[in-house]
Amino acid sequence: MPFLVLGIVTAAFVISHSTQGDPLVSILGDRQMDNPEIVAAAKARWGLDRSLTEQYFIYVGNLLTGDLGTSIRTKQPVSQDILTRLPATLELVCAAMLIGSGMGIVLGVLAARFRDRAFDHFSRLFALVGSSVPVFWSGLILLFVLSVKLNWIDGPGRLDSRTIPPESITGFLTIDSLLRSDLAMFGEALQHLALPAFVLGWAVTGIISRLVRASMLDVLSQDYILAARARGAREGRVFFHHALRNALIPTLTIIGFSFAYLITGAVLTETIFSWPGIGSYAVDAARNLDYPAIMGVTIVGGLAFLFTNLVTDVVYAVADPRISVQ
Amino acid sequence: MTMPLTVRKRFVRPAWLATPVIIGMVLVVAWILIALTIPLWSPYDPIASVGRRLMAPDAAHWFGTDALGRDVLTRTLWGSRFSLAISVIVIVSAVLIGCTLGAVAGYAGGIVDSIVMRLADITLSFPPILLAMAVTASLGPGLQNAAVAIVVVWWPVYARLMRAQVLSVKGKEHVEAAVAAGAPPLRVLTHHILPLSWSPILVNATMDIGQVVLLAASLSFIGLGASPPTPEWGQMISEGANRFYNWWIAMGPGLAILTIVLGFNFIGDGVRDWLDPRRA
Amino acid sequence: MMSEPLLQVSSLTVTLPGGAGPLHAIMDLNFSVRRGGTLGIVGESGSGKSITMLSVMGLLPRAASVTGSVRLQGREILGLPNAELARLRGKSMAMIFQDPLTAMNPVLTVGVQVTESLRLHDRSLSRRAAMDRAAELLETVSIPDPRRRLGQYPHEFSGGMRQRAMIAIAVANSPALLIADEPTTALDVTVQAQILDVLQRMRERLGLALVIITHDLGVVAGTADRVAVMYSGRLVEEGDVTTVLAAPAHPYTVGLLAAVPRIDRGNTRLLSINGSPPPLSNRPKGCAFHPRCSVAQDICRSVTPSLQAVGSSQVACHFPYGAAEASRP
Repeated sequence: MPFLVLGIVTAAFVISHSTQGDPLVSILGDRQMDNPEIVAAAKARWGLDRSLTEQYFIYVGNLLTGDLGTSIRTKQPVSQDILTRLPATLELVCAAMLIGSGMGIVLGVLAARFRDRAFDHFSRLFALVGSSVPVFWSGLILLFVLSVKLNWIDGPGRLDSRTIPPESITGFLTIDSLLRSDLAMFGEALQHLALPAFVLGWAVTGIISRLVRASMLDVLSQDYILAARARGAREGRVFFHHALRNALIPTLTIIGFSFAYLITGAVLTETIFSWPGIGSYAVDAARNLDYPAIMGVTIVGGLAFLFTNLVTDVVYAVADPRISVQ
Repeated sequence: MTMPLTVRKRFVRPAWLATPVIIGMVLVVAWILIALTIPLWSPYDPIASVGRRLMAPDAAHWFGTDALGRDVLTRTLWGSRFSLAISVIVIVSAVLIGCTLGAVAGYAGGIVDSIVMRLADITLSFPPILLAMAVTASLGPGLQNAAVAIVVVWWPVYARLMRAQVLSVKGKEHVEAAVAAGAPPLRVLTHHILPLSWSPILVNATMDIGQVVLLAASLSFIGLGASPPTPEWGQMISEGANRFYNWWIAMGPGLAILTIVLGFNFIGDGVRDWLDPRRA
Repeated sequence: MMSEPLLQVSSLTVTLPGGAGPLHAIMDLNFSVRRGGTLGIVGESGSGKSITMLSVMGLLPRAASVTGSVRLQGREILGLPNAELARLRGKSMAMIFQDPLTAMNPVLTVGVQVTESLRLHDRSLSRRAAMDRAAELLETVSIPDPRRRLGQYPHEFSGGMRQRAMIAIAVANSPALLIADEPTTALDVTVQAQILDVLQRMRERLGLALVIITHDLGVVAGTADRVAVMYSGRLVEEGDVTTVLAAPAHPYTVGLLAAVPRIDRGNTRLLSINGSPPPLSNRPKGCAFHPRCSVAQDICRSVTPSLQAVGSSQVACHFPYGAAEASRP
């Protein structure tokens, strides 16, 4: 674990410093590159005049104090940029995770219940389409249909463009508005959140529902299901009390695993929905070759991924009595 | 016992050829055929302006025209050449690199094994798109660099698979016999271990192509892959996103990505059912 | 007048769907179990003994077609709607399984599983009263420290303890019939005798009838008063346990007995029956046992023998031992 953290940091450093292009060009622009004084000053300012090893240790040292460097594009500390944008992404990813695992579990359970019947085939198709459709396209089409054609929802963004975002408490607009008992704001935030979260959640519905179906079928063929029936449990009880609990344990792993998909999806979904989160920040950084920002986002993404896996392991251990928590 | 006079040969569908696999194969083969033959029957020139700008779909242009008056359907069909080519190249490279490293790691063991597998662990601890974005941005935007970036992201999958295969085959008697007989390591690897290990790799690689198509299109959509005027699907959807109200610009390439990835996913899902009969 | 048996199975036939056509798992099976008696059903794996008892419990998959008659306490239960059957299962008839490791739900505590059996059949029972009753049950099957044990998960139990807990679950509502499907097969030899002992004690204390499914004639000899031998979905010999074991009439029973190690016979070589039981999809014509039978004749290859009284037993064989020896070649 500590090894992986160091590995993530080192990998991000190596990638961003093995760049083909000169980062100075993206800092200064072509014209100023001719002026040696400005170039030297910029080099000193961004630490580019030191050796690579020195730069590495400075970077790692700064990281320990939470300093991810300064974004070339926004001229702000990357850590600050990320912190202000993190809640938006977390809110989106959490909502998508809820929708995705909710739909996945329901579809998977019903598909196992009605195995090889029409619903099973429908659920397979829905799941596979979800994991095949590019979110940056489904988001676009759904946004066009629902907001332009049907006028059911407002456009992109976390709130209506005319609404002034409220002071942040948790940074989750839905939770903040509830904390303030501002139901109008809550409705608006929820309405803006619903479509991107659905688009993103649909993408992970497939892997979850297919796994739930498989483990449901596996569990239903176990002896303890037969034993439950033998002591007089009805089908509903067998299904939900005995089978579902067991089937959901392996599902926990896949829900943690689907976090990688959600991050990938979030990067693209945020771009489509003008969502002011880490994903759209990463895309802007990549488009502008803003290396400190790219490096920062990559590191944070990697650490978040590690953290999710850790949480998954802990939740798994808590959910499965056969594993003792140490 | 009486034998029937004529033995009628009836086609018995093999177990792996389930209905989802057939659906998937139809979609994938259709796209491969389109990619191979499109120069012969292309309706229009994919990169020339062939009509009025931003026209909604009509009889002449089934998927409409884009901001430069190019035919969206034509460009979509041509786009398959880029998507399929890049995906196949990426997967083949990732398989070659990953399998070589994984085989060496599994066979050599010790420090080599540790180094290769730790590298794989680190690579896999990044969300794929972020790592691919960082690598592409670092190498400089472009379709080739995007392909390299995806290989960087993908090789560890096969390295792990291959290493596991080698470790499980290594203990088999005939391999130990070959080693004992003094066969050089490379020969043991190529003659005794690889022939037993390739099938799960092949199955996985086939199922991964769809994901690579998606990732490559995503990088182009972000602006790190193909650049205009290349008729690449992700790039075309990005143009469509900029012309939000001309919905048809993104419709063609979006449906194209959906159908081809769906094809690979159908195959993958069916094959998984076959490999794990408890699921089916 | 003879009282009606507790369980009367008549012309039971079970057909399972198979890839290459329907499989006849059980064919025209007749047997009965008297109140308080113990029947041992013996056969190799695949002989249909488990399927027989699962069809009595109504626990076969829906795709299986079951015909004939199963009467429990004088009431026809074959074809009852599932809700009716669920009311009988665990209440009038209960079952324990071969592998107590897989037969207990790993994510529910033992207490939850024991009380479930109680509360499913007595809605008025409070959670606390059910726990008290569950502790008593664990005590009767000789599980020490029952209160603490109720809060534990199955994986914290040893194999023998788990099987005891399964017995406690099964007898929770004092059923009239307890079916034990290979109850000792998955357990250590030292534990096997203890489990059989617990089963016998439960039978005596609760007056229930016991059906023990086993491939081990030793288990039958120690516990059962009647024995039914099954081969390839049919009953081949049925009778009083002492008679059948002392003077088996069917060549298959003879073979099974010869394969049992016995201390009193000294160091003689164990015999085994040649070959293996036929697959359901490819059952031989005539007597299904003929390819492995040392006394098979032409008639055995074409005509399926029906059950006939031989002495006090019933035997399905054209050339049973103990019948007119002269007719044997």
